[in-house]
Amino acid sequence: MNRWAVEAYDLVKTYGNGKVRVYALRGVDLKVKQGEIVSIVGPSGCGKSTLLNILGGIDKPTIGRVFVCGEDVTAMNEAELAHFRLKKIGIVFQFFNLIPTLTALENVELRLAASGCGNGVRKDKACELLARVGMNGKEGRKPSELSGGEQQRVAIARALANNPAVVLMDEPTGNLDSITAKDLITMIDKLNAQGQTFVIATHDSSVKESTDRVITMRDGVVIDG
Amino acid sequence: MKGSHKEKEGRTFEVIKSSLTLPYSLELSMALRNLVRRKIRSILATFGVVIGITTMVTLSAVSNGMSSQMVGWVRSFMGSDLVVTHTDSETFSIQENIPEDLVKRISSIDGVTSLTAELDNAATVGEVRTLVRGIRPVEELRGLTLVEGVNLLESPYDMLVGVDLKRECSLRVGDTVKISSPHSAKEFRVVGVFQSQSSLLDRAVIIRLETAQELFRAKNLVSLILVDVREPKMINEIKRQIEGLTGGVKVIRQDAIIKTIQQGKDLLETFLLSVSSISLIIAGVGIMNTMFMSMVERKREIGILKAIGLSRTQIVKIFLLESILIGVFGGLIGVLLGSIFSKAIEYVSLNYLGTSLFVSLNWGILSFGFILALLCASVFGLYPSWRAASLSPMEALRYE
Ligand SMILES: Nc1ncnc2c1ncn2[C@@H]1O[C@H](COP(=O)(O)OP(=O)(O)O)[C@@H](O)[C@H]1O
Ligand SMILES: [Mg+2]
Repeated sequence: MNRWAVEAYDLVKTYGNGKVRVYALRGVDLKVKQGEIVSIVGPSGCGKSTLLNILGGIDKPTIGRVFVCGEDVTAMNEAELAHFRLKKIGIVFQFFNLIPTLTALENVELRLAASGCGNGVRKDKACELLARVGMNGKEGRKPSELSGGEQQRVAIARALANNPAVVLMDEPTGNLDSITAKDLITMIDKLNAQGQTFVIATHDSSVKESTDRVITMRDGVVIDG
Repeated sequence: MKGSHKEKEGRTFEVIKSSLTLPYSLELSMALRNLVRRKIRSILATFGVVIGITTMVTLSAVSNGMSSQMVGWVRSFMGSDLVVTHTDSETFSIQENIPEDLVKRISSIDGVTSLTAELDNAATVGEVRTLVRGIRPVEELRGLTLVEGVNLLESPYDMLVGVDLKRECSLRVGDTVKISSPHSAKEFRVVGVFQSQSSLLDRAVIIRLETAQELFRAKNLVSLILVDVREPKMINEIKRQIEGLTGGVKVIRQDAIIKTIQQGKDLLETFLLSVSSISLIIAGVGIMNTMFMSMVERKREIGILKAIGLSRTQIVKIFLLESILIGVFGGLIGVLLGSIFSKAIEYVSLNYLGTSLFVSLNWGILSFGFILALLCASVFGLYPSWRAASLSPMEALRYE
């Protein structure tokens, strides 16, 4: 098996066309080992979210290639990408992660159901995932009945559903009312025991300090790490 | 290997458990909750379908009822090749009358084998306003079957009642009932019960022609004369001869009436089809609009669905289910309202307008209406659902 969970080569991402072109990434090279916990830091607007979205197969780079577990993500068609996101990637956004009409349990179940997991097993698996992020007892609540931090825990549980190789988190501790850095670190340490790879965009120094490696970005390039 | 026994136990447990859990789908509850969340909009979209299906069911029931009634009416003349009526008489109005002496003159035409004279008018039988028909001769009941009792052979105040009227008024052979016309009223005795092929006649009363003439003050008058001819090829010749006897009458061939009714039915059906399709298209556009609004509002949600790995088909399914649910609710309510309206039309026609329109409601019409609602909702929901599922994940996620 490939020892790299994530490989990115010469990623360039531009927005807009014609005269006004915004460069979000200007040639990023990156490799993350399997089981590694990596944080990406840098000032706001330096391209962290853009990079995570490209690694997760949600966005396409203008130039460059991305491999996850040896598979060329940049060469996949729409259906293959959906399947890749379902099976290989778990993603947690900064805000509004959950489907508002579904309960915490159903939000997790939805991802399991999408990969063909049957009714009975699915419920048990989803309960277990929620327990792993400390959400047991709140399975039946709707997102509107959960605090911001609790919503993020559910999003993390959902990201872990289907046992993805890589979990991507975009500033999970960034705001008021989000999960605390301390809780996140304990949780990730526990989850990482399963061999999952974590890539976390953050500007929280305590998160940064507890990861295996820190990658620093500025103006769309990696300047350190 | 060590855990295999335990695993097996666990699996058995799962099977039992999943057989106990109700069959429920996440997509379905998602669709339902979204509809409930946007109550007003969902109700409006459903309302569109309800209007379309109600219109369709009501119009079908009325037009089917009308045409089967018309055909039944004609069938009740069955066996007669020609019908002679007043020139101004319409098939469904109370007839203008023609002189009775025509009967004798027609019977002397060569080739005429048998003749029946009838006088039709509306009267109140007991409490019910309905058709009263006088006939002569009474020995031969054209197109009718006597299902109970005897024919009108004894007293002039004997009557036969149709099966439906018998049921409606809980009549029995031997009962005495008052028949009142605007001119007079008389007690009649029920001697027999008949069944015809027309819902109108099944609710009517048959008496002797002379008695009817007296009841309706129509001395020496009849509404129509039914004429049988020895050989079919003589029909046109005899028609011409009857027309030559006197002015003011028209002679209609049986087959011509049936053809006219068929044409009327076709016309009605075309009309019905266009009205229904227009209202269904309007309903469909309403659904489409609702679904597009829903898509715009839920862009972020679509982005998340995409980001966590749902496929295009799975997302189409989530959205499509929502519009199908609108179709299911709209269809059910539409079918129900359509049934109520058509029964109401029948009720008003019978009790307030003095006409006798029987609507024909059957499972065919009802299930067709329901299926049409589903079809309309699916067809018009498909495009917005497809558009929603085709958003790129980034485009959808950017929207906040
Ligand atoms: N859809 C977009 N259109 C135009 N510019 C964008 C878009 N998304 C991001 N950018 C720009 O790309 C750069 C990187 O953004 P982002 O990856 O969100 O940075 P970070 O997450 O580090 O704050 C920023 O300058 C931002 O303004
Ligand atoms: Mg960002």
